Amino acid sequence: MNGNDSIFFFLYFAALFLISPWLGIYIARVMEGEYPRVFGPISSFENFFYRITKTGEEPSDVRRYFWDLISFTLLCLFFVTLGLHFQEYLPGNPESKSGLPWDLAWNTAVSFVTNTNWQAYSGEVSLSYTSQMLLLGVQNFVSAGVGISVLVALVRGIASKPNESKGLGNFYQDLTRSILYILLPISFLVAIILVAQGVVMDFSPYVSATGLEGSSVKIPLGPAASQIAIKQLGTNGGGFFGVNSSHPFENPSSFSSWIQCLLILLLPGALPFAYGKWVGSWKAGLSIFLGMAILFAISLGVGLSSEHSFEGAWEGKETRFGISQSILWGTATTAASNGSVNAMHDSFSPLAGGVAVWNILLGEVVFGGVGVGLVGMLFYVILTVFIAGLMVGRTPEYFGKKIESKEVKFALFGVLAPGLSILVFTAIALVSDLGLSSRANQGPHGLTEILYAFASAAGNNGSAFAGLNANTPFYNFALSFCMLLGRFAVILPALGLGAALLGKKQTPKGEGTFSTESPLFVLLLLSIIFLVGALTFLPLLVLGPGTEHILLPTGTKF
Amino acid sequence: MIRAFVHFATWSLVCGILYPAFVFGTSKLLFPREASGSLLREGDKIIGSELIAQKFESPKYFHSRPSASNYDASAGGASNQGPTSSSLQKVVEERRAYWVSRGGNDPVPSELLHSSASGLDPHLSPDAVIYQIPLVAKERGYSKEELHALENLVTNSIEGPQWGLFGFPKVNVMKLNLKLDSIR
Repeated sequence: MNGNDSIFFFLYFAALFLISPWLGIYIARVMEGEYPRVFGPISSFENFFYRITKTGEEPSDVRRYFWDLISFTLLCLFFVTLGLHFQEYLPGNPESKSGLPWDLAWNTAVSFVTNTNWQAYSGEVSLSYTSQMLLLGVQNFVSAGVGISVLVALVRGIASKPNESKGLGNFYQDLTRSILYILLPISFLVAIILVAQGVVMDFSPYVSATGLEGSSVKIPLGPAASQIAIKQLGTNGGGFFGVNSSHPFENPSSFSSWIQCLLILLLPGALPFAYGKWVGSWKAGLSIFLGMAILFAISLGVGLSSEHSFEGAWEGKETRFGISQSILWGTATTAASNGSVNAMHDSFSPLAGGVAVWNILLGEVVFGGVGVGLVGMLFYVILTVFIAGLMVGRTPEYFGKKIESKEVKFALFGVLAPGLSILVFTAIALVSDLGLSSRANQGPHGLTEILYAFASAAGNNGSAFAGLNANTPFYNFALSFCMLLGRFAVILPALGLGAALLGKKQTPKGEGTFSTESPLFVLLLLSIIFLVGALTFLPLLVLGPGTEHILLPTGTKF
Repeated sequence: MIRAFVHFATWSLVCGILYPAFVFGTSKLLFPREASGSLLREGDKIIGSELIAQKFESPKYFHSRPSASNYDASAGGASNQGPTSSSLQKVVEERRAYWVSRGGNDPVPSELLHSSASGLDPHLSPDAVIYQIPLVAKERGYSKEELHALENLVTNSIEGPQWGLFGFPKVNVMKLNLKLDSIR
């Protein structure tokens, strides 16, 4: 860290801490249908939108919400898979890219529909402009919108009063509002800023040039800026170009890196404040935000100190970002389930790479994905309340609602299912040639490559130790399974939990009520997150990054 | 299912066509050069983009960051080799030997030994450029005055942090090489 990095970091965190609460309150308002006056034209568009899509304003019960969400997701999966496989028959393909094979098309469709944005393909090599824009770009919006919708539905369950009959809300209405009032306006603004910095936005074919030394150069173009803005805002992370945000056309300057890095944490950081507003307790939101921030600071500190004492730190990093800013991005993108990279995680020092996978393994709750990250955190909150209740021997309650076996089961399922799938699939990959032959690195680093892939898929993160060749039928199918499981193991219990809490009797706060806003609660919450993360994955973390860290000073190479 | 379909179609139109079209139109209006790749021209010939590193093999030019994907602008890539990789160690030693064989000092700046993330990194830190000054001057047979002119050229090519706030001083290698022939 030098002076330039300090200014960058200061501006970054200052902006994040100032914008988050403000944006959170804005989100809370628009999702409940209160709009600022300037959005008058958009709100008439919203009504028009409801009319043409035959969306009623009526709240629906949990079954209806569930089926709306599932049928919409299935439809997206179907069309994106087909579209990618047959992209050569679609217009907007000036470079005549051929269709993706079925396994890769399926993997990519799952990846974008589940907000993972794992990339087994390389954008400028394999995809047409139409595929990027119309298939993947649209999923960047709707998958983030679905995340917000699920969060809002869960919160309606938590915050509901017994005599109200608002239900869990209407899925299509939530989706529409999140896209129209949150995702689209911010994306548009940022896309224009990115173009000003040098991100390309052009539908022409690739440019052929003759370089200074006479070699021929082919420069890729495409509608990149519009996609990159939403890729960061919606914690998607799927790059327009293969090397993601380290590509000079995707992230050309230090400022573009700053604003993209800010967008990664912007919505996940704002949603705890929105939560505070929804449940009517500003402190409840703040305590969750601070819990996340503490976990983030620990990871960032470990990553920075490891990378700065590492001789080969420049491998896989860009000069315009430098070492500290690459680690800041690496921490943000793995904490927030974004998955875009501006440096190659595979070449990080052992502990910095280990911290990246650790952030994902905690279950993507350190800020986490848009909506679903906070949902995951609320699972942990329910568990904490439950365990704290057991410790003092009182019936646990959250906002006056009793936490009983049904609620705890939903929360536990959401916390444990992704972890289980990571362990099982990593084990399978480690004992078969199908899994092992894809490694780019041998020794403990190879183990981390495989662990990272399944963690990234099940956590819906999408970043990678990119040396691993994941475009094989085995990885394409195994990872797509993990992605689906990781997504729906959060969404379904969230709806179940929301429905279970909906209409439950609220008991007024008493003398012995355990406060969910105190520093003590934050400490308990963090301990439980550490406990679950550490106990589930400690052996793998020791054998992978831990062993490599110990071997590094001995000069052992593989 | 019909409702899901109508929603899917409408969102495809709004987010997949109208939104990119608006961004495209606005950026073509406000930032036409940046939107089409910040291309560099000599006459009407396109010679590259100022944001994309080119391969400089001749010792008469300043070299860019090493590239694991051989500076292929249409398919950038990184080595993705980890800290305990023996093949990475070998490549780094080869690069070190190259610079030393040209008469450079050891230690060689780390950026010249390690490949970038994109394989297309257009910049170098001032240190890594200054390191190359005597080597390029020797290759071009510069006199003392010309060496001095080269040093001035490099100093003038250093871009400070963006708006004095973001990032570090750095040098765009392509733009620097373009100006080299003005000395001789």
